[in-house]
Amino acid sequence: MNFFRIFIHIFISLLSLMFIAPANAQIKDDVTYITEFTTLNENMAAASLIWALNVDTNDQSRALQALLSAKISGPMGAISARESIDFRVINNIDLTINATPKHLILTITSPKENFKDAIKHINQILRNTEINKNWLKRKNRAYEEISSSRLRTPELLETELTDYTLFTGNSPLLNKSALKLEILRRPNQIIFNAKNYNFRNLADVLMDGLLSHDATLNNFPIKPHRKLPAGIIHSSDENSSETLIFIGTIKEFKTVREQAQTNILYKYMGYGPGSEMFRIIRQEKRASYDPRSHFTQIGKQLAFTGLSATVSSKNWHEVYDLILKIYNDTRAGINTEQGLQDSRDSMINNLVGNLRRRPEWLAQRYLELHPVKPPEQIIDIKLLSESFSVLPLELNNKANKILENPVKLISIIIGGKINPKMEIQHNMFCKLPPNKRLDYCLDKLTSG
Amino acid sequence: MKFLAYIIYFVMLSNISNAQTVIPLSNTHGFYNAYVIPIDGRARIDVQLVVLSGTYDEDGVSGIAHYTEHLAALSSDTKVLQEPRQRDLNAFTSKVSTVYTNTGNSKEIDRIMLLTRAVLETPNLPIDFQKSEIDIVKREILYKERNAPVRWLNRLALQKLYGSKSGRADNPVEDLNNITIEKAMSFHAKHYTPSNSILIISGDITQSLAQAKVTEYFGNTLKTKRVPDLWLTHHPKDGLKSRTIISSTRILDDSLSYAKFFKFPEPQDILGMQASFFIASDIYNSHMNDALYLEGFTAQSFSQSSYIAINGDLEYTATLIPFEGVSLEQALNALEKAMAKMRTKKITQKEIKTARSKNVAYTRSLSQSPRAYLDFFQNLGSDGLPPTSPTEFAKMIAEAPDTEILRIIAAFASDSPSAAILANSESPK
Repeated sequence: MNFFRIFIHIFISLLSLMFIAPANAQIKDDVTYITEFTTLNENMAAASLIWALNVDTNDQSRALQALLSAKISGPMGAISARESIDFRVINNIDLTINATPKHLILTITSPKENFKDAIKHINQILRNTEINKNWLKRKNRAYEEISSSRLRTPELLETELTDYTLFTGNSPLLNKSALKLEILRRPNQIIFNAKNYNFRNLADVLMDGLLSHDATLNNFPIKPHRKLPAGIIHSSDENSSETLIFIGTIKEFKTVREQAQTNILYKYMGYGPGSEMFRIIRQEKRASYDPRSHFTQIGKQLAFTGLSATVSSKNWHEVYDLILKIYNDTRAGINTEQGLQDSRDSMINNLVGNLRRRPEWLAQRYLELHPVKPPEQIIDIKLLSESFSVLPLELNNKANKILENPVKLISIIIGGKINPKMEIQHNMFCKLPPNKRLDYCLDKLTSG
Repeated sequence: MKFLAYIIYFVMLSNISNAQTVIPLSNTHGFYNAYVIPIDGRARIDVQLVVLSGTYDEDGVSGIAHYTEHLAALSSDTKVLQEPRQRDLNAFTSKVSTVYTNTGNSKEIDRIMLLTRAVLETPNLPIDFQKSEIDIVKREILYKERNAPVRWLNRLALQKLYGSKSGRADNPVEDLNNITIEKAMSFHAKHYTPSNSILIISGDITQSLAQAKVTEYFGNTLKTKRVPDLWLTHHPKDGLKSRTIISSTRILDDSLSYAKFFKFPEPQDILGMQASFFIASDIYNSHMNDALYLEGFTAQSFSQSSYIAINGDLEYTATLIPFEGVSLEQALNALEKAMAKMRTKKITQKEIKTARSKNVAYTRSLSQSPRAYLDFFQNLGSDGLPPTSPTEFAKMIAEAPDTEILRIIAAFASDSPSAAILANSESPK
């Protein structure tokens, strides 16, 4: 068995570190790279298992996650699903699955005192070659995509737009047995995370008995992500009492600093009760319960960004104008010093919270920089140091450059009547037919 | 092999300590009860005001308790904070209580106590603002409904079970246009009294300081009678087996919602039953889950919930989305069959031991979140009982008698009044 270990303690401070990542490194499926971080809360330990898999369709990504989920949830040999669940509850073992176009990630978290048992348990799961067919049916259904126009929630909208951006191909789905083989093999990378904990031998325990064969899915390159088009999409519903308004885009940043700056400005616009969206849309206009901003990193220097609110269908267009005004005012740089400072603090608190409690978040940030293997020198997740060093006051002068020109944003309205003015005046308008997914209009607007 | 080590620094919040003792305050003044729970190593103080009335106590119009919660919280902020409305509401309404939480460090104790006191004063906000807050409540209810359409089905099941749209059942969406300022003010005047509330002060505070602050801010309040829980006499009809079939575009999948009620024939020692109830519900839920979900493949998804009232009444609800190829009728039959099987099922010592371990593990997991601690404190407090700390609860779990656990499992499984909603999902036109 060929392990390649690097023990790296992540560095979080204002100091800048340098590293050189190997460019275009090739994936070797017979090598597992091991990296250690030390950012979690004192009593917790975690391991993220990463399979390098180039996946270019949302359906394939969901099928892979469903398969892994069925494997985790179902019975294995003489051990029933009930016994597995009780074991995990009693030992406070938490499992999460994440997927990107390049990786499938399984993260195990538990208190340190139970971590060795948790790792043995995961090895048992991974070695199990039989996946119960009913469990697989159940998980395939659970991973089916739900259209945002059906339930009208901003969370579903974010998922739908992100998937549209990231999954850009049309490769045929692998059949079940080929798919099974993809996750029966040893992971390509393992990331451990705990403070003052000796992970010695745990990688051996994790990978004991796992096969070492080449993957099928990581042998072809995947296309870069799509850009979201500008324009307006309206999924109208004349009978609805409520309308979801979203204005935003998926933004690619030139630098990590620009990413941190944008994050702060979005927090200023719509994160929490001190924000402009809350102050104006909820407390002054009394128009919405859930006005908010979105800033979710979905790739290397790539984030889902936007503003949303669910409002009464009667006057959705008035609130739409107001949200645009909030965006334009923030972009004009007339923002309060205290508000920017609070927003910067919120961003830092989120970062620290993610480092302390969400090992899968750190694993994803690391993989964006080192998708194939760890660097030969130093891991430097610049997002952390850059985020700490942004000065709130520098943002007002730059806001019009940091935030996208509003004509480049996409507006999505779900519910309510179509505003005839908007339909006539806007040359990039798409009315979403009932029961069609957003892709229909996104493709149409993209092709102009 | 390479070792690259670097120094790490970032600001850490204080870790949660394990030491927590619930101390009743000797002088509660007007409060129904007041407690302090000093927690070693905690850098903040949380003050929870638990008004012992919630949606069950609404008088005919659903949503009044919730709207009153908004007005009282916003009025409290307006009175005390320099920049009111700059924070989200620090309160929530449950079936039996409304809980307000104010948090700060030890230097902010006076502000926290002022905010708490102001919740009990008649809400004082501009009329236009009060009116428009009704719209915010509407949006909030509809927002939650959209995120979890099954809430609506559970409400229908409870309405059928109790034969009513108020008391132990409610009707918040349909009643959205019946909410008025007057009704909220009347609810506040009746229920928001110190004697219908308990106070729980926890964190970085000593018993003597907590007592001094309660005396300083609530010393002029007088003990009166607690508002009676009229809903405790609200029972389903004996022998009820309500079955309703509906179709709707509001749900994504065919769904079954089930509600069941059990009343012990004799008065119950509710405080003594708490730990046994948690263990019993875990064992019962595990069996049902095994039969319908983990091994039975009747359900695509299956969730269960149970509640024990202050007089020992048990309410059990379940929501089931049928597995591929299973009809709603088959799912209901399987649910009832699994329940009937539990009536003769022999519960083993191993199962009881496992359920105890799971509950203890749960209390340990709370140390990861100060918020979870607060939820734990107010859980029993919401019924007017003394709050329990996780360490005390772990001890209670270890000591819960097997006989009591088995008696509660038998109650869960009994052939008692029930209501089921079989909802077919329709595609939107």
